[in-house]
Amino acid sequence: MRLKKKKEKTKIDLAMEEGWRNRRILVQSFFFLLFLILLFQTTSDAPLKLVNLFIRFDPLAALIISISSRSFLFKFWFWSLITVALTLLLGRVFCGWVCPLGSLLDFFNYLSNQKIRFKSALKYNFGTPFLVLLLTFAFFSNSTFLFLDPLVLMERTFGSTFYSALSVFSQWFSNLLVLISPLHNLIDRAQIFLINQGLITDPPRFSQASSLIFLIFLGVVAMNFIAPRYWCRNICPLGALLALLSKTPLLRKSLNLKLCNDCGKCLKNCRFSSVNNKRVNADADCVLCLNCYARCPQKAVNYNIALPQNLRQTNYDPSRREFLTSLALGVGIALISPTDYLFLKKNPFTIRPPGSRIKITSSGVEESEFLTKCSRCGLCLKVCPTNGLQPALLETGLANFLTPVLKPRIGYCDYSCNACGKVCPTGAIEKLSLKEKQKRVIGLAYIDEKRCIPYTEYKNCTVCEEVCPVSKKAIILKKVKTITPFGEKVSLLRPKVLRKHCTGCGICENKCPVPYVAAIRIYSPALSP
Amino acid sequence: MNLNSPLKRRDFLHYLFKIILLALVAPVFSCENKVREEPTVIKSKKQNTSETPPPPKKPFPSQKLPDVAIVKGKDFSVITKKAIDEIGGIKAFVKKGDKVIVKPNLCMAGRSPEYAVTTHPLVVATVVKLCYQAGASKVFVFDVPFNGTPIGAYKDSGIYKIARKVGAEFIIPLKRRYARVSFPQGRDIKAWLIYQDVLEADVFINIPIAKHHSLAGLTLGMKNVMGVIKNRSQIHWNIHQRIADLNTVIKSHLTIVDATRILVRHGPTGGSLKDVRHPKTVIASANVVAADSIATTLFKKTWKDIGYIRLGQEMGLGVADLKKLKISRINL
Repeated sequence: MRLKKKKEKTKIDLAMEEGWRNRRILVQSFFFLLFLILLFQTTSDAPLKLVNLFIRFDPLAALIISISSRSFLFKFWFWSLITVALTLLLGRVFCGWVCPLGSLLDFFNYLSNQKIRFKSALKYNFGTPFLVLLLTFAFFSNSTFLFLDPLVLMERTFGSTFYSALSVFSQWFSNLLVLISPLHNLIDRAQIFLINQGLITDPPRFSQASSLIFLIFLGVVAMNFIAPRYWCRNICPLGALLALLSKTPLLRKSLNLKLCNDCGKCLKNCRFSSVNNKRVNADADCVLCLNCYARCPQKAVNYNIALPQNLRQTNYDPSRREFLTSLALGVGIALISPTDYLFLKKNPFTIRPPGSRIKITSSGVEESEFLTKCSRCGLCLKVCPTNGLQPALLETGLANFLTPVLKPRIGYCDYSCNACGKVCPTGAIEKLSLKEKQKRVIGLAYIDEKRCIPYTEYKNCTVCEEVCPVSKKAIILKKVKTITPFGEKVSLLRPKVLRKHCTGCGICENKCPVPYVAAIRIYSPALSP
Repeated sequence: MNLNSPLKRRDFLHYLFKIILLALVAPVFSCENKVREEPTVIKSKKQNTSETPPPPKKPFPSQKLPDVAIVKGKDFSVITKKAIDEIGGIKAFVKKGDKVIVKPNLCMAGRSPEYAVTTHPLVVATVVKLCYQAGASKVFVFDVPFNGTPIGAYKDSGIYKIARKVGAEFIIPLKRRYARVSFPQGRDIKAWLIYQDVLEADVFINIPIAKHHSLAGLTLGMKNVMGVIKNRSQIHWNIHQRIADLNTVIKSHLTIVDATRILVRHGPTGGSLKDVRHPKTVIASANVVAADSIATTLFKKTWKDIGYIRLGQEMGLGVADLKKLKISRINL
C-alpha cells in the first residue's frame, strides 16, 4: 500500500517538475562535468590554458588575494567580474546553477532525500561572520582560510584525494582481474589506455594530507544532514559574498496572491528557506533553483524583471552585532597568531615550486608574497608529473597549511616541465618559460658523507652525478685513493656538490639508492650565504 | 540482525565466520602492486632464458658478410639503411609476423636531438620502417627515462613525431609488467626484474647513442639494455660486471650504434653544445660486443678501457678484439 501511494505521488510530482527545473539540473550537470574534464586535463602534457577556469570565476578568491597581497590581479578579476555581474543581474545563479560543490550537494540531497532536521541551526548564519573573518585576515596579509572556499575545496579534493583514489581502485581491480582471469595482456592494455587518457596513474599518486583533505570535504558534505545544502546557506564564505551582492537583483520571484491557495508546496520544496511561511521573499537566499516555480500547482510563483517596491520583501541584513563580533574575533586571531611559533615555523627543507614569488635573502627566504597569493587550490599538485609537489601539513607553519612544497624523496622537479606556473590561477607561481625554469634556483643539494655509499661502503655509486640534468653538472666526481678499514687500497669516485651550478631540482635526492633518508638532500636555497 | 534481542551463540558464530571469510578475501585487494613472480610467457622463438646457451664458437653465421659495418654520410636514414644492408639486410634479423622491440636510448626528457643525449629520431624511424618492410607484425619503441615521463621523453627526443608516422607503437611502462627473471650465467646477478614485453618479443633491436658516462666510461649498446629493467641505480654498485650479466639474458639481435652525434663530456645528460662532436657515423652489427668495441674508437679509446666490453668478451657474449673482426667501412 505504502509503495503504491509513493509511486502515485512521484508521478504527479514528475508532471510538475518539467521545464525550467530540468533545465537547471542539465546546466548543473554540464558544469560539473566540465569541472571534472578540466581537472583531468590538468596534466603536464595537455593544453594548459583554461584548466584553472573555475577558480578564476571565484570573486571571493580574487577579493581576498588582492587585499592580502596588496596587488590588483587583472587576469583574475577579468573572469570573476563576470560572476559579480551575473549576481547583480540575476541573484545567486552561480550557487544554484554553476558551483560544482553546490551541484554535488544537490545530488547527495537527491539520493538521500534529506529534510531539515535541526531547524534551530538555520537561525545562525555563519557565512557573513566567516566572510568578515576572511577579510580581516586579508588586511593582516593572510589568506590561509581561503582553503574553505568552495571552488578551491573542490579542486583540491578531487585533484588530490579522489584522483589518487581512482588509480588505487583501478589497481585493486586489475590485480583482482589478473588473479581470476588469464587475459593479462588485455587488462594491462586497458590500464595503459586509461593512463594515456590521464584518468589514472601507475603507480598511484598520493599526497601527504590526502585523508585530511578528504575529511574536510566529508565534513562539508555531512552538513547536508542538518538541512539540505546547509553548507551553502549558512557557512560558505563565497555564498555569503554573493548573498551580499544579490540583495536587490534585477530578476526576482513574485507571488500572485490572487492565484495562491496556501498549499505550501513552495515552502516544502525550497531548500534555502527563501520562501518563508509568510510567503515573503528573501532574494539574497534564493539561488534560483526554480523548485517553487516548477512545483506550484496554481502557477502563482513567477520570475520576472521587477523593481523592489512592487514586492513585499525582507531585507537580508546581517546584524551589526554579528558583524562587530566577527570583526573582533578576526582581529584577535590575526594579532595573536604571530605570537605562536607554530604559525611561523621555518623549516630548512621548505622548497617551493620553481617560479614561486619568494625572495632569497642572506637572512632567509622571504615568502610573504607567495603565501598571500596562494589560494591553496592544489592545481599545481595535481599537474606535477612526478608527484613531488605536496600540500604542506605543519612543517612550514600552521598558517601555511596546504601550500605546495617539493618533497624530493617522493618526486623531483622534472627538468622538462614548467606546468605548475602555467596552471596557477592566482599568479602565486610565476609563469616561466622552460629555459627560465631550468635556471631557477629552488634549493641546494648537500651530501651527507656519513651515509653516502662511496664514503661509507667504499663502493662506487655515481647515481647522483649521472642524473644531474644541469648542463654543467652541479655534482662532480673526485677520484680518491683511500684505504678501507680492512686495509685494502682502493680508488674511488666520490661525489661533490658545486653549489654554484645547483638548481635544487632534487632528482639526486630522489634517485639516491640509500634507503629512507637519502645521502644527498635538498635544503632551502637560503642556507648558502 | 535484530538489535533488540540479545545475540545468540549460533548467530555470533555465523557472523564470526562471515568476517573471517571477508578477511581472507580482503588481501586480494591489497594496495601493493604485486609483481608476477614467474611470468607465464617468457620463452619466445629466439630467446631461451632458462637454458644456458653454449658459448658461440663462430660468432657470426655467415663468413662472407662483414661482422660490423661502419657507414659515414650526411643523410642519416640512408646510412642507417646502408649499414644494415651491409651486414645482411634487415631480413636476416626480422622474419614475417615478428614482434619487434626497438630500444633507443632516451635517458631523459627535455633534451632535443642536437644535444646528443638521445638517439637520433631519423635512425629510429628508419629501423622501424625497415622492420615493417621485412614483414614485422608490430614494432614497439620502448625506453624508460630517469628524468621525466616516458611520453615526455618520446616527444622531446623527436622520435614520437617521426616514428609514429611510420607505424611505430610506444610502450608506456606498467609497474605490474616487470617480471623476475633468473640469470643462470650471471656472475653477480642471480635474478632481476625485466619488462615483460621485452621478454615476449621475437626481435630486440638495440639502438644506443654513443656518449660519455662518468662511471662506465661510455654508454653504448651493452649499457643501453639497462633501460628495460627495474632498480637501475643498484646496477651502479658493480657496474661493469652487472651490465655484462644483464646481456646474458637480454640479447640484442641487432645493434645499431647511433654515432651521428656523440657526447664527449658531461654524460649521460649533457646539455651543452660544446660537448657534442659530429662523426656522422652509424655502426651496425649482429653482436653487441663487436659494435660497442668499434664505437669506442670514436672516442679515441680502445675496448680494453671499457670494463663491460672486456667482461663481455670474457663471458663469451661476443668478440671485441678488432683483429678478429671483419669490418667494412663505407663513406657515402
